[in-house]
Amino acid sequence: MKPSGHWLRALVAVGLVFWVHEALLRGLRIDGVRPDILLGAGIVAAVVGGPELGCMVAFVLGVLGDLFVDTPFGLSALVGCSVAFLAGSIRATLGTHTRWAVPILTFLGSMLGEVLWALVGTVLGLPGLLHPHLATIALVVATFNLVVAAPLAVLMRWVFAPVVEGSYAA
Amino acid sequence: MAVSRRSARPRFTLVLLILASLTLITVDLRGGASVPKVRGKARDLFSPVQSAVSSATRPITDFFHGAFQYRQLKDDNARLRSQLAQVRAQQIQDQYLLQTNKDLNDLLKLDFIGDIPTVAARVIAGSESNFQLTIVIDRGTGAGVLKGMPVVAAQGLVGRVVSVADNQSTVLLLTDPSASVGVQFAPSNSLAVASGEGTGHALSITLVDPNAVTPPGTVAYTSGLAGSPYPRGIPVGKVSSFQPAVGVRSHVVTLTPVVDTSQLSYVDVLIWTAQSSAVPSAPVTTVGP
Repeated sequence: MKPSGHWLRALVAVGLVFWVHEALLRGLRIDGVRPDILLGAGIVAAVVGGPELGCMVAFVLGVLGDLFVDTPFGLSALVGCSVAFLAGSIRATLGTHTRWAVPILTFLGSMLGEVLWALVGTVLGLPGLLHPHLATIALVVATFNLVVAAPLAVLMRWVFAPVVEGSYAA
Repeated sequence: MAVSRRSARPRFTLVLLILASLTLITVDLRGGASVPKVRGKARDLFSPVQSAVSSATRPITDFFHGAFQYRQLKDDNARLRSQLAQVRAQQIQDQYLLQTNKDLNDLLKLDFIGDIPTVAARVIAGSESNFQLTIVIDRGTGAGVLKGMPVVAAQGLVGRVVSVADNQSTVLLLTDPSASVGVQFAPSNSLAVASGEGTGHALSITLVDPNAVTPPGTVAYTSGLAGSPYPRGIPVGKVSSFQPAVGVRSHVVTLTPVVDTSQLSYVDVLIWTAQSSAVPSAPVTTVGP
């Protein structure tokens, strides 16, 4: 497959995840919390495709997500690519035979992502983010991303399998 | 050498992306016009899809709710079950239309806004972010909505418009921690500032006169003082608790908003901004206990 084909697959995957997030999951609230599949997809991309490509996917998803909220533009992208890179790097150190890497790293990465978002947001001057409700937000987002980690992993394997030598996609 | 170059590349990419993110954040926080414009275009582009899915999923959800009851009748024959499902779907649709009709009728009878023109809007989405309490409505600059305009429901104040696109707007709710509104209590006319405290929490009150007494049940309206982003006389909430001052502490007052923002279907945007002083303020009215 030509390199442009890989980027085309990535584009389709990003578009699909974004459509699911903004159209299908837009009205979904679990205990008042909106699931954040964009963050989960970025983490899964990094775990499956490696930290470099994963954090690029997470960055693009974060920028797209930031278009539809009124919080600082680029904040979700910053948090998403940082957490995705961390998850991808941890996955790289674990070796190739870790079956539970995707769900565990997606769950923990999502929790970390939400907390990091609140911390960086507070540094940027957003009020009221470090609230006990943050624990609920992190838990709900992480649990939802844990549930959707398997289909996201299938999608990201489709995107990355032929791309990266030494990725864990195959 | 080759190995170290290979391992350094992902880190280089990460640094580049972090720098790009920080640049975007800086551009946005500096208040340039480009970011709101890009956001507005993106929302306009995607809003037909969002509106369609939002409208489509509501009856489907209601239908599946009805289907759970329908399953109790599984011993009935296929024809009766089919008819029953159709009748129930129709009933749900009728209830939805009746409720919509009632909501819109309520919005037509807002006596507290006086002569201020309004634009009726449908709430098409809840908060887009878990860290900001907003709603999205289906009217934007195309309908005359501008950033900063107050938004009300039949009971009183909802919030104000914080961003607009051509055909949708985002409304910051009163309960958001970054929201605050100048209020006046009836009948004492004591002034105060009500601030949001997040989902499920009452508004906190900072009294201008620390000795003012506002017993529970007292109604607060927007004060509409010069420069206020809201016109005078819109019901904001009722005092839910009042703890008298102890020592050097001032009174501790909380206010329950009159509008339940979790149940909003339709709202009115007041075509009013703080600069539009030619438009008369709303008259002070009273609401029931």
